[in-house]
Amino acid sequence: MPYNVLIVDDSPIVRKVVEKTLRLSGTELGEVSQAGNGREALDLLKDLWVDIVFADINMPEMDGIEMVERMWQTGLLKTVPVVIVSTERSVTRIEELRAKGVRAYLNKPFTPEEIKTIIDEVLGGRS
Amino acid sequence: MKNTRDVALDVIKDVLERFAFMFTETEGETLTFPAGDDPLRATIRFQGKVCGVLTVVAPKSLCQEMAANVLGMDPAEIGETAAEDALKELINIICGTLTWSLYGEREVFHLSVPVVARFDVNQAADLAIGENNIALMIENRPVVARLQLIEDPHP
Repeated sequence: MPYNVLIVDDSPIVRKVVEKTLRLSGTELGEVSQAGNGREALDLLKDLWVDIVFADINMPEMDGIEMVERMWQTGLLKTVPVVIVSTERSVTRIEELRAKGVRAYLNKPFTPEEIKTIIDEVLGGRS
Repeated sequence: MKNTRDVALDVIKDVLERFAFMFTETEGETLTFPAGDDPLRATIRFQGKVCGVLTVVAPKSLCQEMAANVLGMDPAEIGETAAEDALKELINIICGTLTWSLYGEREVFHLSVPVVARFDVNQAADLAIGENNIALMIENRPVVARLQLIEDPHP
C-alpha cells in the first residue's frame, strides 16, 4: 500500500531530494505534498491525510519544533508521525525532540538505506 | 588534536562529497574567481556555547552543478534560484556538522536560515587572509570558506 507523505522544508531542493530518496529507497509513495514551513504544513494537515511527515527544524515563519508542539497540542501528533530531517546533530536536541513526540530523526545528508530504515521503524515495514 | 581550521576543512570536504558528490582537487591560500562566472556568497549564523558566522563563496556555475548533482539533472536545466538553494543547503549542512564536530554531541546550537547574495569579487582578497579561511579548488573552480567565532558570548 503506498504512503502519503508530507515534506516540510523551506528549501525546494531539499524537498525534491527527500522525495527522490524515498523513491530510490523502494518506498511506494502515494500522494506527496510539500510545505515551505511549519505554518503551511499545519494548514495542509487540516484537510490532508498523510501517513508520515518529514520536517526540517530550521525554517522561517514557523520552525519544525513549533510545528511539532502545535501538532501535539491538537492531538494530531498521536496519529501522524513526524520525522525530523535536519543538519543539527546534537544528542541533546534529538532527546528533546523525541520527548516532544517526534518519532525519528534523520541527519542530512542521508542515503536511501537510511530513510528506508526510518520508514520501516516508524510505519512498521509495510513498504 | 586538530585545530579549528583543520576540522572545518575536513567537514567541508566531507559534506561536498556526501551532499554534492564533488571532490576537492587542491587546497591553497590564494584564489582567483573566473571572469564571467559570478560568485555567490552564502552566510549562516550559529548560536550556542559559541557564536559565529560561516561564509562560503562559490562560482554560480559550481552551485548549478551542485544542484544538478543533488537532483540528478543536467546543469543546463538548473536556474539561478536552484543554484542559490543548493549553496544555502550546502552551508546549512556544513554548519550543522561543523558545530557538532568542534563542540561535541551534547551541545545544542541554533542555526539561522542561510542567506545567499551575489559576491563582489573585489572582496575576494579579504576572504583570502585569516587563520580560519579555507580556499579549495573543486572541479577547477575556487571555493572559499570563512569561519568567524565569538568565544564566550556571555562572559
